Amino acid sequence: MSDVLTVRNLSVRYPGAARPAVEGVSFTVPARGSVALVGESGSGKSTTALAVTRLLDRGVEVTADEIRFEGSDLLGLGARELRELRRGGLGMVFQDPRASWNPARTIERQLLDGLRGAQRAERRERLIAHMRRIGLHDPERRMRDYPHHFSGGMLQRALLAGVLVHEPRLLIADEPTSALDTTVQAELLALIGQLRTERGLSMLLISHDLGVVARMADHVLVLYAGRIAEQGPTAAVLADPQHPYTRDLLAAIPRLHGPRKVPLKVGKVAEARTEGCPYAGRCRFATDRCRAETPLPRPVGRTEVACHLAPLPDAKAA
Amino acid sequence: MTDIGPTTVAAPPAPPLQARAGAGRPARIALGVLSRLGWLLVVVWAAVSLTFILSRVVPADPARLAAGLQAGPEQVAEVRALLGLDQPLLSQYLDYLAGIARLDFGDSIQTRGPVLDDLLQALPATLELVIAAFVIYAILGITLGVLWALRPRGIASRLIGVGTIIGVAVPVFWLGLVLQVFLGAKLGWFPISGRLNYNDFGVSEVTGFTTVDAILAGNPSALGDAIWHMVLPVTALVASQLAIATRLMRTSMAAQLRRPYVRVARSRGSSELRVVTVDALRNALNPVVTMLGMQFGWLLAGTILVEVVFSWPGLGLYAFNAFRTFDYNPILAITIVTTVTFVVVNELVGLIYPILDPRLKEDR
Amino acid sequence: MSTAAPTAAPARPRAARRVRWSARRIVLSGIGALILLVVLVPGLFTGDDWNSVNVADKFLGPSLDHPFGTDEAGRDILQRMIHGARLSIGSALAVAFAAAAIGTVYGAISGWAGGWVDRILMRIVDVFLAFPYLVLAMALAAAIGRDMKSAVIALIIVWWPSYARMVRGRVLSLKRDLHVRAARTLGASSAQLLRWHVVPHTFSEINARLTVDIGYALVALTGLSFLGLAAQGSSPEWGLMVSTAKGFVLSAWWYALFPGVVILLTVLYFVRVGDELAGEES
Repeated sequence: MSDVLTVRNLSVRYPGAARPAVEGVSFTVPARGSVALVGESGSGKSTTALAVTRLLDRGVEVTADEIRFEGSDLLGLGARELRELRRGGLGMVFQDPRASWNPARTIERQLLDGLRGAQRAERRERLIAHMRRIGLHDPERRMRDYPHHFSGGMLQRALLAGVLVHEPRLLIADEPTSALDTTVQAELLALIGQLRTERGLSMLLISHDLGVVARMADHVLVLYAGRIAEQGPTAAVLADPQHPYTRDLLAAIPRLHGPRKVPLKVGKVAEARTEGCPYAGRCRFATDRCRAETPLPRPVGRTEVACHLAPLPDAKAA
Repeated sequence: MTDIGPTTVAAPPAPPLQARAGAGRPARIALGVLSRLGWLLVVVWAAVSLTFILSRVVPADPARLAAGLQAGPEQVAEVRALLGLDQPLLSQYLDYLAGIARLDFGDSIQTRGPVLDDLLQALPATLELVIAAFVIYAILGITLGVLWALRPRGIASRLIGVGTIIGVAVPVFWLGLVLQVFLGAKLGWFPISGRLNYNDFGVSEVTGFTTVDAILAGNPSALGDAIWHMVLPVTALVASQLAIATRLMRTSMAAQLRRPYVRVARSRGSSELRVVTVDALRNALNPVVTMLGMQFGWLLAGTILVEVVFSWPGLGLYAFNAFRTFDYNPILAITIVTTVTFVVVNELVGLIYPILDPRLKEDR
Repeated sequence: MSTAAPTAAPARPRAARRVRWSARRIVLSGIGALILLVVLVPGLFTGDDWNSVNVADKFLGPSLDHPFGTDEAGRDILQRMIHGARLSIGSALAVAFAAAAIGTVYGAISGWAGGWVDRILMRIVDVFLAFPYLVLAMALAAAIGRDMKSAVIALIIVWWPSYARMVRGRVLSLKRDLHVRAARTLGASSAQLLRWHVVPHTFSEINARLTVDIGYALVALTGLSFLGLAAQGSSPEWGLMVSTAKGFVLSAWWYALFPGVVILLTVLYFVRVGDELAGEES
């Protein structure tokens, strides 16, 4: 089975920024697979997703060797084809459900925007069915309500339904649960999981929450300051991380039992170095070579790591 | 922008006008309307009372003025009795109120006729200018503001930006004068004063609006002449207010375009045009509409100045002449009329608001 | 009794001025100083005969001798304008400051008192705000007389309500914040809270609005003079000059043009400074 999404050497630079927001990122999303982009704020994970779908603002510079969706080149796509794609194969769900809806228009209007006549009627029927599927009671009537009549969780589900009605092959979810309560979060994730199985949907998940990632993704990319620190099968990366940053991330998760871990060294991604390894400023093991020479990703064990010092001396707990 | 005066306007109390489906909705609407009307009455009463106080505080003796400067003391006393100025203040006040209620504003010394007649005569002329200016400037302001927000780095936007910076500071009377001199007198492109002359074109005066009457008479050259006379004054009016609307529209639009739902709409495959107009603009217009409504009042002020510059026979010129000749009744009448108009317009704007923002339709 | 700041951290009092000097601000300050000089000591820039009638020189166009030309009495327009600055700008300053002062006190009291006092006071403000300013100014000028003083009073009466509204709004929201803090503060009195928390916070917003209003007041005043409601006779007030120029507009175009340009530039200046101040606050 071919890959649904292929990204090679993606770089994104915002106008007037000191360093690129994303640099040299490459990954693939296999059919029926799910890949997660993980990192703290400012790591470039959202930017990557937005760059791939070309939703970034006009002035932002996006370059890549290759961005392919189901074999066709995304970079060279014209505006109309891009719109077609967005109404079809590619679906996106965003972080803040409340901010994702125009408060002045009804849910129905927003989801059926631009459609007319028979096409609209048919789409509407399917939309109602999907709304029911995601758990909205009396969808016919409720769809004509305004966003402020819905709870955050329901809004996110409605967004999902709106995306699914297009029968996408790839779902890109940018922090889909961050703005929700934990119980609602769990429900939404379960729903996404079910829908994926039902439809064989591939997923690109962006999250800062390792728990969500562990649950939803087969494959994970850890990003730091716009570069890939480590990537590999989720189980492998989480069980036996090889990059110091991944280790620190995992160590930073508060645990109820066990000895106290060394806390993540405080630092800002924005102040990451432009030369050498971006993590060198915060890394416990940093050497002069780290500060001078940018490490390239190379296979180490079951994962790919961008670190001069991998494999690290002590395998598990730091 | 000129003659901008204080930058806020009364927001009268009153509960939201509409309520969501439920019992008692008609009652609540009725209550809302009543309270707004009540408020209107309060303001009108305040305006009327204020003008009454002013008229009696006046340094010159109104009886003397009415009688004329040559009149002797007995004639002045007669006139005083005639005008009821020898009555106790309270009964004068009540008479005054009663008169206003009847729309009796007294007589003008200048024209020796009821002020009401003069007002009705002059009103269409002023309205013609104000309405034309308002429509043009609303459309232009919104368009320019949106363009500016969409392409902030383009050349057009830079020009618009510079234009608004200057526009905010231009005094409307001076602009009118400059236009009059350079485009009117020196270049001769436009007439320097006045309106369409009905007689010259054989058009009968039906509504008092030169453009409307010309259309009704089916006389294209008259219509052309009517418009030709309006160009300079309307341009001055529009130019003086345009900057505010444009800047506000641009700020509001830029803020909306940054909101997440715009990106989400794009991600669904909506065309850029739809996203901008139906989604973003709809929300961006809210503060702008309120501002436009407020500006209607300031447009009235600017119109007075423009009418003076261009000798346009409207309320402004009327007030100006009345003022110069110490003819107080017209001034008071105009104060009341313009104040009422101002408040009414603001009320109407308040009514539009819930339509634009569905969230306001609810009871909170 | 001490007016020392209460123990809860005071809102960064704006009295500590951390102004960042950029080229733009230096220029603006320089212009401001110049304006101040012109208003206070116009004689510094003109000769003693600035107002002397010299019919032989009437209606001379702009030249090196007379950069703005001469008027109907042969007087140099530029020199008259320099002297008129005191009237025009000075009055605008008076309007803006007085309106701000009255409005601020009124609004602060209203907002701080809250309850029905606030409601009544604000109703009164609403009534004032319902009048379109020019009309009210006209009516007032008609009643209390036509000179600069009356015009200034009229404009102050028209202008103060918007400050009242603004300040009251700020005070209300600050009060909500303060109730929490006040509970933790050891016995700080209302006066102290007002002085150290409320006032500094609203100060810069008032400042910005005030500066911009100087510009708008200038426009309003010159407009009133233009209509003959403010300055009279041979006063060198700028609006009056435009009004006089109106009569000679065909023969002496410079007479109408230059005063207007100067008004425009002055208003522009104040608006820019105001924007600059507003930018600093946010």
